[in-house]
Amino acid sequence: MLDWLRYFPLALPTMHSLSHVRPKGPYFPKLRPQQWNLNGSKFGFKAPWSNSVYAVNEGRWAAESVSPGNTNVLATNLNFYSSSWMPNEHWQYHLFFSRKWYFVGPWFSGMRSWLSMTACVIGQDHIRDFAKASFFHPKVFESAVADFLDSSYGCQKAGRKPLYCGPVNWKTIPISTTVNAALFDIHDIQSNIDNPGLTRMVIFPVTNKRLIKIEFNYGGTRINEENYDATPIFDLSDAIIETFRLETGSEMESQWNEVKAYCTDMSLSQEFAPLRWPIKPEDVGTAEERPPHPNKSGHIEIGQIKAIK
Amino acid sequence: MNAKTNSPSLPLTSTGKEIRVLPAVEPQLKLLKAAARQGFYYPMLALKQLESLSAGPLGKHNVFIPDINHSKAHTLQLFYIYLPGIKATIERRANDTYMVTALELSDGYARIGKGAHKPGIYAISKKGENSYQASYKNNNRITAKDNRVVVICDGGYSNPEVAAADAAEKLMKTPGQQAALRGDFDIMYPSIENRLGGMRNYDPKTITKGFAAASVLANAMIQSQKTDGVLWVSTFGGSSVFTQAMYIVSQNKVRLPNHIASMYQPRTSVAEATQVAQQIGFVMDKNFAKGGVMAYLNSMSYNMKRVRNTNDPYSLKDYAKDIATGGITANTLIGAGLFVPALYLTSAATAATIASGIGAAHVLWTSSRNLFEKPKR
Repeated sequence: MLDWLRYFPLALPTMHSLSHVRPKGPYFPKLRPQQWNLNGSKFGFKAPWSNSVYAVNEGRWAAESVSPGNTNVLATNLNFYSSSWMPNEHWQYHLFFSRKWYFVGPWFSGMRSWLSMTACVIGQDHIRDFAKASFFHPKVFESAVADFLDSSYGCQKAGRKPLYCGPVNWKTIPISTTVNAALFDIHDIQSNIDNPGLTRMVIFPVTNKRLIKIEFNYGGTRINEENYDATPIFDLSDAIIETFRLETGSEMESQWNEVKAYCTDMSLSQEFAPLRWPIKPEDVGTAEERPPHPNKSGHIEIGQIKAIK
Repeated sequence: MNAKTNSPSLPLTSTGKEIRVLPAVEPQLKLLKAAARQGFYYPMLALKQLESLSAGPLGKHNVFIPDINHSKAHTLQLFYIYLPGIKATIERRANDTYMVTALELSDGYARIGKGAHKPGIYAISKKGENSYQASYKNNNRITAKDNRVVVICDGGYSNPEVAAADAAEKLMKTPGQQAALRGDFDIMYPSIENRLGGMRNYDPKTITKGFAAASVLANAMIQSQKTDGVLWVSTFGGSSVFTQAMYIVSQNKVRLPNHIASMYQPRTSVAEATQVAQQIGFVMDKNFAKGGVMAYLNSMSYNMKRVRNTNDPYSLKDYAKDIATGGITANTLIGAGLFVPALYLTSAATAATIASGIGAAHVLWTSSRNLFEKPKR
């Protein structure tokens, strides 16, 4: 009954304790519809408002958000990732949406962890690895995802050990009648391989040359978090992912149909084994052949790419 | 088969005298071993000490014999061993085996069992677009790069990632801004459950919780002598760990003359930190002592010494300015409605107080706009 006060986003230093609690957030949990304009196509989903956590001094967390408004998010230039994150500079990104939902402990005990959602356009205009192929082709899409993950998460290592393991729990989610999205997790296995940290991703193609990557970050929360009850955090991300819906516009439809004309099976693989990490930045993409352009070589054999990974 | 193999539990060591553990004590030992395996320093030390008992208790300073008569007779002997955070009760049985009959672990070990993150140095780098990854430095040293920024975090964070995000934000207001913008710095994560320092625990020397972290940090500071221009910034209660570490460094007669020290909103005695930072030879940030009212009152007594020190960038002009404005960041002023009378006492010019009050009101307004999300574009 007093939950509005119990979980008020205010942190008082005297109330601070890290006892095992079930944190709650955001303050206005109602899922509200949002929409992105993807060059005529519409991507819709529902997410709550994000709110800051207030404090006199320490323990203040500002809700920093980025919203695309009604602008066409695909009509922008892409930036490079930091060289430590992507040493081989295979991919570029443009961040157009981000939200951070803070989860607070009861009675002003402060912020425990957060769920952040970040969406960006990724592509590679500067290298020609995928120049002749379309990301709508499921096999091209999968090898592009593998290349992206290899170049970023795969290159991170401590000594000879990888920091991450993924993709795990690969699933395809039908966000529209035509385009499917891949949903998978990346595990942060650095400190504890049995109880890893988590990053969840949804990736889907939007044009021949662009992917949209939506990333959920759990603020260092582990899968079996022992310091607090993490179920509300995971529940919110699941609830948001359930509402993902893509309304394909005419341009996306026509690009998709072009690929459909020569590709018999447009569905994504049902399974995707974790990649071999760590990988040297210069080795990314060299071990495998790029799928040849379908218009020239005709039909791509299913399994041609699967066999490589 | 001899009598020893019939003992109720497995031996702790394979050589020397046998040390065995009662089955009732095994859960505690399991916790201790797990903590040692994860790389926690004191559990490792404690386990080694316990194992070294296989050479007998002679010459050990941490062995206590409650009844000397036990020790004289060649029968059952009982003694206690004190290890960091542990009291172990040991019996020497008639078959010349040592039996650990009780193992009392301090609360900190229970937290390790709950999956606490290791205290130590973490290298922070950008992960993807706008988040941070924290990777533990196994050698407990800072990243050996010139002009590296190291943030000494407060306790009370859920995990190093959360601490890193907060550190990056606070770094923006310190000389380490560049590192924050690049998202590339180190943090000292003390892995302490509660925040450190504050009005009631103002003396850094009495904050025992920070000792373990301080020794790790001091080691990192000593090892970084050859690295140029390292910036050490403490945030909030991290100042206690920082001050303790500086004490250890100065006790070791190590000087770090081309390193820079700064504190963001220190929650422990600034005067002590200033004093010991001068001993080490740190170049101190002009805003070294800026914090709350307490920091202001505390630092005024010492800032004149900084003025006299020609190596210190802090000049008489800064001293005058600090006196005029109350030496308090507008940030602190907002919540500190309680301290307004104190402000009048401390500031020489009332006009300056009013001006900073307006500034504070402005800050209050701008930060209240953040209550709800605001689109950037």
